[in-house]
Amino acid sequence: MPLSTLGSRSSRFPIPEKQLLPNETLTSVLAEMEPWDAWPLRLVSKNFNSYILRVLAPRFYVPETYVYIRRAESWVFQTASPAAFTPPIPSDLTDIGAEGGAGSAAPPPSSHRGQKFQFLASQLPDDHGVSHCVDYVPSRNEEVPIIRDKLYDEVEVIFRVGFRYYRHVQLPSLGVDRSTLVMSFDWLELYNIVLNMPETELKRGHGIGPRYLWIPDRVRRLWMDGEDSMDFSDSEAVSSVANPASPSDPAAVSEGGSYFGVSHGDVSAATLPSEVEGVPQGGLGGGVSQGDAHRNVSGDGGSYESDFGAHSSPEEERTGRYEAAVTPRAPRRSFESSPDELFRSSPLTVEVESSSSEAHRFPHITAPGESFLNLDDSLPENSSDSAERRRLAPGSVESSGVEVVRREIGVQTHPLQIVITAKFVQRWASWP
Amino acid sequence: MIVSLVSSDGKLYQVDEAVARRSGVIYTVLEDIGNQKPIPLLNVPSHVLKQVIEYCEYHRTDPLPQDAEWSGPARAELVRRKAVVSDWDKKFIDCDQTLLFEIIQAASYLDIKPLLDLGCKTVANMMTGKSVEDIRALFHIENDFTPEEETAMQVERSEFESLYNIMIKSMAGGVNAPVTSLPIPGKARRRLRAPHY
Repeated sequence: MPLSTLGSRSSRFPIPEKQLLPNETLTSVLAEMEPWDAWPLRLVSKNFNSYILRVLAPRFYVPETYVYIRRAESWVFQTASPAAFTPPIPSDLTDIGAEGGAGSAAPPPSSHRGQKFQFLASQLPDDHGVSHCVDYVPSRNEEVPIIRDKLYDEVEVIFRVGFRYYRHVQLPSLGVDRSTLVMSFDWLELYNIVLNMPETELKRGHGIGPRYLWIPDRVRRLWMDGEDSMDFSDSEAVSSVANPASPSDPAAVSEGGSYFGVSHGDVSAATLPSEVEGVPQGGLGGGVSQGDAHRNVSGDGGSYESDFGAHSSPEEERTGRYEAAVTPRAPRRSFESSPDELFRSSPLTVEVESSSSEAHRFPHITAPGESFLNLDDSLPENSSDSAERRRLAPGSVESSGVEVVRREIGVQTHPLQIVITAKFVQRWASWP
Repeated sequence: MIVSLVSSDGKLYQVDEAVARRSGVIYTVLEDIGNQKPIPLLNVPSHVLKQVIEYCEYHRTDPLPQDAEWSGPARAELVRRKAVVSDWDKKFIDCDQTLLFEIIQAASYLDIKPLLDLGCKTVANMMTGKSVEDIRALFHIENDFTPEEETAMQVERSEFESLYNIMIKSMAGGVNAPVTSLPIPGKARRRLRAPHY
């Protein structure tokens, strides 16, 4: 190229007549901006929108996004600190390449965030096929057993984009494959929610406890059943609202509590608490009538299945009190410890299924502080009545209107026999 | 060795070769043609070229992207420099907006990546917190969305805003505030499809 012609070509991309900077420079400016600053600028022009959606988000934002899960009952919170909102200091960037690449400053050492999932780097999208679904895997292999245990229960999900942490995010597309521990979600949905969030709300969200819990087993069942879309009734089960109030405080619940996202009727218009008393036997809320129930009891290290009848006295039934004797049958795994020791030390899960009436939608009972739920081993994958296996947080409302406002579970262990006493107080949110 | 640079308005600047090689374009020219004639820079006026030379003089010892050992500690050093803008750089780039845009364009044309990054970072700071209309006015960007596209994007944004506003309301009411309904708007719901495996 002769030197005389050097620079005669103005630009590879012609500058619009009025525009002060060429588009390629403006995209470089966008790349320098933080994700939450750049995302709202999609509305500026097609060039901005296209560059953010096709380049910045899949190539830069997604790899710098991390997902943390932790036990729902873990009440150790990261208190809001100025460090969470300031750019990383240079000393934090010395571990470049060790984890997440540039810009992934390690959180403060005192923070407790849970198990970390990071972007599965092998599935970087190409230029043309930008997939909105991305996969995340546990950050360390040694965490896998711990995470798998956690995923049998409700978990709180925290998203980290850049150096900002987002709690209180309901992400209906979030799902996990328990066998491979690959977590997937729609990044467009995530960024549309979190990156449009005002900063004031973000900071305020750090100061209070979690409200949205995620039930992984429900999500997986949805996906495995081949449902290609989630209507709102599905999203109820995907993300639930935790009630930070004490489960044993019925007053707090009756004053409103916190619920699933409910679309079937207005919960605020629910009738006053009406206990099971007076509800006809076999009808709505009749509880578990003898002989038509099937119960599963799962314990750590073994699973018991037994068909048995509930013996509930009329008085007890009026107050929703049930006693069930469970005799183990064909344990799937041998206990490493004695049953007595096992069931004293480990949580129990009791599932009550009812086939006689639609109204017998009793949630299975979960002991406070439970750490696992071994449902998938005992339930068929293609079960159609998965709604009955939905776990209810205290204060939550099912679509059929049964609300568990209080539960007390006592476990007595005897050789080869376990007596579980569950106490319910029920009310009807709506009459189906 | 001295390299001669000619600005678009015909002014001749003589700089050290190490300084001139900060530019990717000049680096390539020197490699391909050699340092025989003055190099014309037809897109860079003299007042901008003077600024660019000043920047390159100051950063003449920094690692070059063309260096072979760029991928190791040099890259980490660059990232560190990107994270913290030095006081000298701040003072250098603290100029009026017209000159800033010209420096950015010159850095882009001459392929001086650190200067381009510095300019882009400064402009990014200018853009932070501004509305969409302000950005358009600042850079004279034409809104090339069709009315239908613009409406669709605003509807999409408002749908998700309504979604998180409901979350925020539930948070604002305290821990016992009920979430009476959590509707996912129609279009947003259609987007939220579980992927197939």
